[in-house]
Amino acid sequence: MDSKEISLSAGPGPKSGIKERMVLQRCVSHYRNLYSTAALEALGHDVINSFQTAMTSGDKLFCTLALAKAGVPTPRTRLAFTEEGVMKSLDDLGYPAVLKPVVGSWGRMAAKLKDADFARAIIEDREYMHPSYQVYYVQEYVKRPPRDIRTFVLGDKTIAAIYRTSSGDWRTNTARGGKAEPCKITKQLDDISVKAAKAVGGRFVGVDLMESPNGLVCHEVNNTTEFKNTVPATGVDIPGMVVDYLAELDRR
Amino acid sequence: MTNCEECDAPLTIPGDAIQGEIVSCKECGASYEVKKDEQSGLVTLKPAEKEQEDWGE
Repeated sequence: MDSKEISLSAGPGPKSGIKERMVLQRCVSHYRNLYSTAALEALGHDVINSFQTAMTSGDKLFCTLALAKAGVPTPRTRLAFTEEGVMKSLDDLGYPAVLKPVVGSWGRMAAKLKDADFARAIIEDREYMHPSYQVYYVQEYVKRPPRDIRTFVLGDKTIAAIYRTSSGDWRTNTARGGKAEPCKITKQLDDISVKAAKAVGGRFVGVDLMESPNGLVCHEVNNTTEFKNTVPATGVDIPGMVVDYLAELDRR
Repeated sequence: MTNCEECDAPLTIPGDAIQGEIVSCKECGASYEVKKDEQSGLVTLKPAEKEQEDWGE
């Protein structure tokens, strides 16, 4: 089903046109993804990932709160709505710190705040944008190697993991040119990844982790995880495993 | 034969192109989406959607 052609009944009405009960949500647009998942669930489909998971992991603050509640270590994070609030947050977190939009991906508009002047300039810019950009999600800058870890959790198992190494950019997103290299799935990595996935109710998710001086911390869970760079790097047939998983769920 | 809306270079549709596949103009890199008419099997190209602020994982 192509989101560009969707016309779904909201509430009682004709079926979605999809014969199968199980639906794998792959839409890259956060809002289309969220709203079509809600409508498809209301029409009786079992969507992977669920509306609840999309809601929670699609917003960085909701995701951090869910991770923290489940006992998953996260970078120290603060929420603010004004310049005054952000400056208070930075007093606590120190410099540099990271400011991210609560909705957004591929490292878009994530800013590394080097000092108070730079922070004020960034906030001034954001004040002219849509109100959602004035929900300030401020996070400590984790002293990590120039890479992070992306794991793929399917059901209750970590099936693949990569290191994402940045090349000249502090952001490691492969959409920003970060390079994917295979990463060994240790028991510790599997445990924290599965715990993070469960924290948001995810059945097929990408979990982003950093190697902090105090151990692994999880900074994000992705509900429509991409795998085009991971399959060649790891040799793991992620799409094949997802299809088998869906077929198994459908038989239950 | 279809030409690119941006630079007018000829666009080539691969023989095994499938519905929804993205084809890029070899000259300017503009992206097009493959549309296949279910009944006639006729393949056409339309400009692909551009990346929006909420796109990602």
